[in-house]
Amino acid sequence: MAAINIAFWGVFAIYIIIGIVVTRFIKDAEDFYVMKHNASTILIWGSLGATTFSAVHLLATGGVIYSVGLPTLEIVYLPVFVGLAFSMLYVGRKMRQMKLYTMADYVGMRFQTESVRTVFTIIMIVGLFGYGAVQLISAGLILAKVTGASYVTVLIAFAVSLFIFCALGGMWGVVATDTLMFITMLFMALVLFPMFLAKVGWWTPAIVDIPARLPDYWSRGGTAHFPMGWTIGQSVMWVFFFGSAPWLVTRAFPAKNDLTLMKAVPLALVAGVIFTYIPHTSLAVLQGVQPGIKPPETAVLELFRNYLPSGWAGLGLAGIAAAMLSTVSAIFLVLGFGLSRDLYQRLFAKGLNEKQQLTVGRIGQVLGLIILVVISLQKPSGLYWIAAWSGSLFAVGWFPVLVASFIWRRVTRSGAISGMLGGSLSFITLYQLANVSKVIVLPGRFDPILWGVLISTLFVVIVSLLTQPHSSDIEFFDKMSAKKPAEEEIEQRIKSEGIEAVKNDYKKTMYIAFGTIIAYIVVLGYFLKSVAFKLP
Amino acid sequence: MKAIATLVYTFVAMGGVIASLMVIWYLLTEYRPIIQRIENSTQDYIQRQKGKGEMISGSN
Repeated sequence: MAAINIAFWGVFAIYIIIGIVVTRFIKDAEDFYVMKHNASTILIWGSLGATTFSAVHLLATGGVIYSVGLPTLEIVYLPVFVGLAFSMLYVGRKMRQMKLYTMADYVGMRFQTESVRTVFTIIMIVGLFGYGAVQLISAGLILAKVTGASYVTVLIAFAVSLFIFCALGGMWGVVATDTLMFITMLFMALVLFPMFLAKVGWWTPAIVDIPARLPDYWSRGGTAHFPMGWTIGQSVMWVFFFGSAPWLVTRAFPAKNDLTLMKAVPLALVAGVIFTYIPHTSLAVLQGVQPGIKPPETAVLELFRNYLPSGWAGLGLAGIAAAMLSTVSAIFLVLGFGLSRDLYQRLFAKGLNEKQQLTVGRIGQVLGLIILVVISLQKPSGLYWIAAWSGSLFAVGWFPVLVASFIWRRVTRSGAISGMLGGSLSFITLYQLANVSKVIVLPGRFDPILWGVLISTLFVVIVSLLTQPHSSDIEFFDKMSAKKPAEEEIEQRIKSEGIEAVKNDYKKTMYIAFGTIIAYIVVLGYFLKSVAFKLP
Repeated sequence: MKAIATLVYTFVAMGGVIASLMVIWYLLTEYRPIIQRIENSTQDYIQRQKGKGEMISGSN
C-alpha cells in the first residue's frame, strides 16, 4: 500500500476510534441531542470551524479560484463570515438560551401549532436530503479517484463513520470528531500548504507569473468576466445561506454557557480567515506554476499529489476528507434529529420517556443514513439539480420567517407558513426557469435565492398583516423579548458560581474578542505586504 | 490588481472583525450592566450591614 493511502486511511481510522470512544458518554436523550448543554469552548470552536468549511471551500470554490481568479470568489467570504456570526451569535444564541434540542423546537414554541412546525421540518428534511446526498456522492467520487479505492468502498467507509458518529454518538460523536478533524484541517493549512509554497518559491508565481500571463486573474470578475450583479448576488446570497443553515445554528445548542459560545465564535472565525487566505492564495500560486489542471475542482488534490512527498500528501487528503466528513456528519445529525424528534415524535409518538427518545433518535439517524446511502449508490443523474437548490432552501424558506419571529410581535401562523412555502416554491421555480431551462434572465443576473428571500419576506409581512396573531404566540414573544438572551443565565451563574468567577469569564471573553481583532490585523498585514502590495 | 487584491483580503478579515465586534457589543450591553448592578447591590448591602454594626456599637 502506498504511503499516501497508509496516511489517509490511518487518519480516517483515528476519526472512527474517537467516534467509538465518545459513544460511552451517551446516557440519555439530552446527551444524544445536545451533550447535556455542557460542551467546552474548544469543542464548540472545533465543531464550528470544521463544519463551516466543507469540500466546497477547497474543491468547488478552490477550483474557481484556481481557474478564474482569486478576487472573484474570495470577496464572498465577507458575507460568509457575517452570515456565520449571525447564525451563531444571533439565532443560535437566542435558541440556546431556550434549552432547545432542534430548531423546529423553537418554531413549535413560537407559533404553538404543529402545522408551522411540520412545514418548517419538511423544508429542512428535503433540503438536507438533497444537500447531504450530493456532499456524500461528491466525497465518494473524489476520494475514490485519488486513493484508488472503489467508489463503493469509500461510500461504505463514509457510511460506517457516519453511523458511528451520528447514530451511536449523536451530538457528542459529531462534535468530538469534528474537533479532531478541525485539527487535521488546520494542520493542512499551516503545514502542508506552506510545504508546497516553500517548494515553488512562496507567493512569487501568483504575483509575478500570473499578472504577465493572465491579466484579468486579479480583477473582480476574473478571467470569466463575471458581471457586477453576479458578484453582488453571490455576496448577499451567502449571508442568507450561512445565516440560517441548520447544521451551523445547532452548533450553538450544546455550548456549556453563553460565554463559551461567545469565546468559540471569534476563535473559529480567526481559524476560518487563515483557512481561507492560505489555501486559496496557494491555489493562485498553483495557477502560476501548473496551469491547465482539468477539471479545476481537482486542483487542490493535484497540489498535494504533485508537490508533497507521498505520506504528506495522504495527510492532505485526510484534511480534505475531514472537511467533507465534518460537514456531512453535521448535516446527517440534523437530518436524523428532524426525522425522529421533529417529525415522528411530534406527529405520532408524543410523551416518550428518555430511553425511548434516545432509541427513536438513533433509529432516525440509521433511517436517514440508509436512505442516503441507497441514493448515493445509485448516483442518480437528476440529483444534481435537486442538490443545487436544496442547500439554499433554508435561506429562502426559513431566514425571513426566523428573523420576523424574533423581531416582529405581529407575525402570524399563516404569515409564517405562507412565507416558508412562498419563498421555497418561488425559488425552485425561478431556479428551474433561469438556471436550468434558461428560458428567463433574472434582472441584474441576481441569484434566484435573492428573489426567493424577497418573495418570502413579502408573504410573511402581507399575510401577517391580513390575519390576526394568536394570543398564545404574542404571549411567548413578549416573554422572549422581555429579557436579553443571556440575562437569566448571567444571574443564575452569579448565584451559583459567584460574581468573581463570572467576571473572570467575562474578562477572558473580552480578551479573546480583542485578541482576535489583533490577530486579523497581523494576518491581514502579512497578506497585504507579501501578496497584494506586490501586485502591479 | 493591487487595489482589488487589497480590498478583497481586507473584506475577508472584516467578516471576522464584525463577529468579534458583535461579541464585544453583547458583553458591554448585556453582561456589564448586570455585573455592575449586582456588584452595586452587594456593595450597598455591605455598607448597610456596616452601618447597622456601627449603630449597634454606638448605642452600646
